[in-house]
Amino acid sequence: MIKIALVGQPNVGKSALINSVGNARLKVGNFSGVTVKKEVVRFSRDGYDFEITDLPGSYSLTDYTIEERVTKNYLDDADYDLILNVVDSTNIERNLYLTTELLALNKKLVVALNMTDEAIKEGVCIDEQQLGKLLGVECVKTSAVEKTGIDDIIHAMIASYNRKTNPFHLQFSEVFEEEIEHIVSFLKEKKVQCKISLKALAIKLLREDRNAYLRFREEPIWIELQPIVNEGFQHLYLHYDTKDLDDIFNDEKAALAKGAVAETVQFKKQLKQGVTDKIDALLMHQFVGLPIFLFLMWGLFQLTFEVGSIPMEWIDAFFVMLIDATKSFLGDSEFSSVIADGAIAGVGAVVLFLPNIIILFLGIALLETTGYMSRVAFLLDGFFHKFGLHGKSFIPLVTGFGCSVPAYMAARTLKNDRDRLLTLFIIGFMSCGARLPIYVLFVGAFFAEHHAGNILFLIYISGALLGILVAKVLKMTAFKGDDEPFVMEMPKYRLPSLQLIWHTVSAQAMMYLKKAGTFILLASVLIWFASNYPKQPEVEQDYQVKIEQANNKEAIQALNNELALYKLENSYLGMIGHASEPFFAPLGYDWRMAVALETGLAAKEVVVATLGVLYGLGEDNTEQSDGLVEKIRANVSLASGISFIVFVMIYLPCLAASMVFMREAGGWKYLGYLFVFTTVIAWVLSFLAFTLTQAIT
Amino acid sequence: MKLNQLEKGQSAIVVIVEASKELKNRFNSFGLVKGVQIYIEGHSLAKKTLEVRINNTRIALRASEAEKIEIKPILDTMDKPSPQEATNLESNAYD
Repeated sequence: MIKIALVGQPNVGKSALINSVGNARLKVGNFSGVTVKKEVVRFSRDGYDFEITDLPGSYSLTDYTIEERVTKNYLDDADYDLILNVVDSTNIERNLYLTTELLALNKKLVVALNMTDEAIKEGVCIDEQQLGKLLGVECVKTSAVEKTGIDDIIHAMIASYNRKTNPFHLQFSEVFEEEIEHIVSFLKEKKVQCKISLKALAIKLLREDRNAYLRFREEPIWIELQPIVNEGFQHLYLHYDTKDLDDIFNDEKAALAKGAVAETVQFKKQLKQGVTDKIDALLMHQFVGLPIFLFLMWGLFQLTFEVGSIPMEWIDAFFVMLIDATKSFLGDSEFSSVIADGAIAGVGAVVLFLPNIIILFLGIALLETTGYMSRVAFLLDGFFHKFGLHGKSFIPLVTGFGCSVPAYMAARTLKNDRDRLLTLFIIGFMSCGARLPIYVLFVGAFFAEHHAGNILFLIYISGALLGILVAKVLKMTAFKGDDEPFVMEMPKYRLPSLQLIWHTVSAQAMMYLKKAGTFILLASVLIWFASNYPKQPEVEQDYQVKIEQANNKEAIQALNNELALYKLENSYLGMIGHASEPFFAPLGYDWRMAVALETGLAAKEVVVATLGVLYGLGEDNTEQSDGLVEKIRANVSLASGISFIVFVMIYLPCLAASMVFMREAGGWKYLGYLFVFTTVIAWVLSFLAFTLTQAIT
Repeated sequence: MKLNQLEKGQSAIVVIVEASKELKNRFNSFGLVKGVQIYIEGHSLAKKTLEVRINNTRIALRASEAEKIEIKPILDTMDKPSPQEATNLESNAYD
């Protein structure tokens, strides 16, 4: 088995190249501990088995983004036979920076000069033989679009794999080579044994690599080695006129890439305005650019939630049918209830969001693969940066108005840890669609109909403003620190490959179903249990008798409601509600509102249903039913109502969203922070709202 | 002169990058190093963000980061990139 690490800068067509290998089996997973997608492709050719690990796109081997960190760690520590470096032929000089860093690793390396088709059209001619000689590795021209060079690259990998020796290819400038040579000859004289080549070791010493020093520090040879290395430093400092070793190495890399390009690449065409320039003239226009983007976003948003709602209805209907069928098949038992009302209902709630997720990610994949996403960040960064956010935060935040689940997932487009966490923390402030019924119910109960629309708008806007303010506060406290640099490439506009888009979207959808599904399944069963236990057989029997004796439908309905209320009040969930009453008392809630909020942790849709049950109505209440509005008005004061709205606006989103948040943020710890953080803000603001309203009225 | 002081359409040579190690490495991996020619593609509203081009790479950066890049403007190419850079310019493959 030949194990290959696939490395390249972003937007070089790395994944597309791998996808164009026929007969390949793809396995999608995660790199351990992080949410970075890991794709492994396996195939056989010429009697060899290949296993290619597609590492995330990296501009260089640093640890600026999670992606780059994953790539760097993999290349340093993982077990692989050779590196396949994919290079964008149309932008070869910059791509060679990464190649020189890979050369310094002293592993077997094959370079794929990808996008040959584009390069030819742009008049970029690369002498791959000459370049190969210069770098000391095999270079092969490929094109993922035209599927050329694929076999050549496979043969090159086989040849490289079978080669016994692996000489060190990287040639620095003369000054540098001289210093390296000094150290190497000394190490040779002393017969130092080392896993990597002596030259690689010498370079590590000159780069002040920690591990290289740790290796020598305890050995007697250090006494003699130290002055030699030190002398090397002095020469380099003098020659480069700086004491910054990073600078020196960066200079070396740049010179190397520049030299290689000068010797092997010819640019044959004169300037003409490219498509990218023309599109950018419109999309990046100072005044028109932003409105166009907002319009596109509005379209995507409409599509996600309007078109998405059609299959959602089918999925909903399907699960209702499945629940009924399961119940009638298994009979009326505890087991049937836990399966149907617990497991199936819970999983159904997750699957329900699938259409949203697919459409939204289709949109995001299009934005990203065409190259428009970076332009968006460019347009919006000025505004968002004022609040400590990043231009790209916009998309997850807007998505949050629809549903927090895809919003949390959309935050992945933010490559920097701190930016992403900050965005994740404030997505919940954007009121999701599921909170709408609660708002409608309470606004309907306390405000005149012609004000309702304005009040609703006010709720949404104040939530968003609050979120942005909170971001600012978080940035100044918990996420304090220097601003992360905002430097990013604006890739050329490219037509997306359907295969790649399908690939991205289906992978996201599968991951959502698999991970969220397992968590939700467990949690739904737990909540089912808490709301159904402990059982009250005697009370139930009493009611059963009463119901049988009742003579009209209304009386039966009333008794059923009474029973449901009694059962819920005495279930574990009801106990929790009663126990938490003191906590909610200053906000003006009774135990029923407290329970409603707690069931809302499972799903915000449940809040209205719970209130319906608790205020003595049938279970299938919707926000339209006048009965519930009347009941709320009769039982809840205006101050409590407003305070309730404020609490719903801010506190933790539903279980599904919480689980996705936990996964995206990277641990239970963060969910704990989010819970405490949102609950405290919700409590304080609700308390203020309650006290103020009471004072005014 | 600093990079953020350039106007749209102007070109310059990078003299020195005086930034933190992290930012410097970031610039570096995009090809923004001492001695390269840099061309201003445009600004966002309020000039908070700017788009520059080096060879064939377009980079977006904040004005606050551009401030850390010392440049020497190329005066005779106020409106067009220089000929040697022009040869490197792209034309999209999907023309």
